[in-house]
Amino acid sequence: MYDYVDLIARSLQVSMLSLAMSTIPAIGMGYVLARYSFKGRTLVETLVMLPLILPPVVSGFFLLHLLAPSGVVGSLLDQVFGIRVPFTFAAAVLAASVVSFPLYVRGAKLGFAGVPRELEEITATLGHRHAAVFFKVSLPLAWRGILAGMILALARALGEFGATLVVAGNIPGHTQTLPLAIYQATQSGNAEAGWILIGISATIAIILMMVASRLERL
Amino acid sequence: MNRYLVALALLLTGCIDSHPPPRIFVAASLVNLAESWQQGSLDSVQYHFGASMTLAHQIVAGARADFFLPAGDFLLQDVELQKHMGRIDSAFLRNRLVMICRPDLKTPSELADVRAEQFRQIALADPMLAPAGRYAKEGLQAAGLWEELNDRWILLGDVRSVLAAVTSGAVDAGFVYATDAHTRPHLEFLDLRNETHFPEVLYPLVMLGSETPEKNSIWDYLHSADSEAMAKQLGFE
Repeated sequence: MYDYVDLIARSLQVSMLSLAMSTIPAIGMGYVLARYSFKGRTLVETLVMLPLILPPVVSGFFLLHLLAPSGVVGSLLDQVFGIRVPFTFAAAVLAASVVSFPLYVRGAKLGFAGVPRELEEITATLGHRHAAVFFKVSLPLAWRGILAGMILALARALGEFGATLVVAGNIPGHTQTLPLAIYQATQSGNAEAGWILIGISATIAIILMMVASRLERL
Repeated sequence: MNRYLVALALLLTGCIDSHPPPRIFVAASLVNLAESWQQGSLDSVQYHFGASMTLAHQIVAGARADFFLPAGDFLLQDVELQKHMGRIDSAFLRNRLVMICRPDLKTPSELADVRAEQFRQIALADPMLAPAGRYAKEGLQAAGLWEELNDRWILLGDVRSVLAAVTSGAVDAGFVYATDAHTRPHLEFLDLRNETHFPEVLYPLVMLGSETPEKNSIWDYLHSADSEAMAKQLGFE
């Protein structure tokens, strides 16, 4: 009934790609929020955190209306490049990154906030430029926070369901990930496949947690 | 602590209604008809809408329900569901599938036109959950289009999601019931009535559990001339 290997592969692809997409913006945003105070900072932080607090279906709804061929971004993509995003693999990746982004930013922000400012200032007095200070001091010292954010974001992306269902549908072989397959199995009364899929999800979760705790001990 | 637990227990038991109103599980394609019933005599009835196979599974899993109105008589063959069935009217309503398109696209004049390049994404209800999707998939398979256009099908939760996705322009085309298309004024559709692989869809009315005076009065209302007129007005046959 279900191609389990294919489902595992797609779930991992979706979550890894969403993580890859978020990494640079999340670290940048975390640094900005930890180090700079500017007008509208609270507003920016609130907007970034919004997908974490709002029901995921709301994120899906916004994404769908933005990306549909009748939407603001979607019409541009469709008419200029001939690209359709909704109900494709790309939509599943996008949904996963939008909902996991806040967790990544939060981890990075805490990581950067924990870096002593004096160390950055001393490095700057030694004649290093701002970018060098960031890459040689701030980033290496903030890695623990960034890693924590990354693991939470990965977990969130793997479990993503609500936004994906709305903007990417539940299409076997295209956008169906493990949580969506579990939903379908539950709704159609296929308990046997449901248990197998849950077993797979739990195994992935346990492996991830073991890797995470190993990394944290480094 | 004890007082807190007692208060919590009272609060929770207070949430359980000892004389709940009758509850009808209704296929998503019957939302508008159920609204008419609600404005008629069935105003104190609880309605629960969803994809028919989803609802059937919820009933088998122990959901409290007094009536079941799925979009498809094949569900009457479900052995697990049969244990819950009482009185049955196996052809309570009739409907048929149609194909609808995005507002800015021209509606095709025959099913084979669905091959056209402009229909890149075509939505249908998930065949595992909703009969509308199952009928559409079976029809397309028999017509040889399902495999050929393999990468165009978009599966959504139920038939009303398909209607919403097409009319909002999120996808290019979709398969819904004629009555779904009727709910949107000026929405053109391709009637699949004359396509051999798209048979008429029968909605059974199933009373769940044993007969009671209350359930029988609902049964009678659903078979009344009033209710029949409402169904006709919404495009059911």
